[in-house]
Amino acid sequence: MKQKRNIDEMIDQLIQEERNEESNPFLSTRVMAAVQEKQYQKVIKINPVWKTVMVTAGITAALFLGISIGNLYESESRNNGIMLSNDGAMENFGFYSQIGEE
Amino acid sequence: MDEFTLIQNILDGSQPDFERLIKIYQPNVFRTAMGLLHNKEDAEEITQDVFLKVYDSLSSFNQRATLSTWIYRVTINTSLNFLKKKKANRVLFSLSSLLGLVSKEKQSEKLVTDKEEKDAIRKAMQELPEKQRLAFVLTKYEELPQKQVAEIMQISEGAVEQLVIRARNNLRKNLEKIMA
Repeated sequence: MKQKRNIDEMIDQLIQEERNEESNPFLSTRVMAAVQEKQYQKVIKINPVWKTVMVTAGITAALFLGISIGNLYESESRNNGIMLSNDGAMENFGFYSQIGEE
Repeated sequence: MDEFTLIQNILDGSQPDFERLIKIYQPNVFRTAMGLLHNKEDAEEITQDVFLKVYDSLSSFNQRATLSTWIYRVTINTSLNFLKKKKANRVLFSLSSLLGLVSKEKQSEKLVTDKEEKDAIRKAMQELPEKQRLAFVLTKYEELPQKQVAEIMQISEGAVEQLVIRARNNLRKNLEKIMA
């Protein structure tokens, strides 16, 4: 009988001790951080789709711009020749022409 | 703020209201997990998991039961799943004791220290049949009225009473054997 009471007391004592155990006061902060992390991961999960779309759109735009600019350049191009003249040689013309007159 | 408004606000994306919900139910969730797992670190991990599950599945809460009853159910399921995962480790431990890695001499020694006595009680509680253990924890650790325990376990109030009596008797029997 005594042992039975002892066992009951021991059980109740353990229950009381475990009931009095307090959880981490920052647990709610930890949970909120985990919730936010989860939401962030959801955003990341959506991102690869948008990434592909954006890259495809970027390449298309770059190609279109490249072709357009290329076409513009061709239509406005001219075959301008460059004439190089030697100033020193030009002076000599006068000299030779004077000699001829003499 | 009533329960319905709180749930609606959380579903509308209000994080301060969810934090409020955590603060309201955290002691209950932690105590229940503590009663089932008997380990502070594990109980804290379970508490965190429970609230993440609550956040994810609050939209599926049909409000047929009260929010606290639903949270208790989530806590019980999460804790039991955690215990099942841990069982694999316990099987390995039993195997090692069968192979003689754990001294049999020590097992048969009289339990002298306080820690050993507490471990024996914890072990005896873990060995109770699942329904008895749940009824016992909800009644003794949470001190919930029989009516709410019956709602959580989806059984009659009379059945809860019987389960608690049987749990207490089985605990006594198991401990008497250990301490004899």
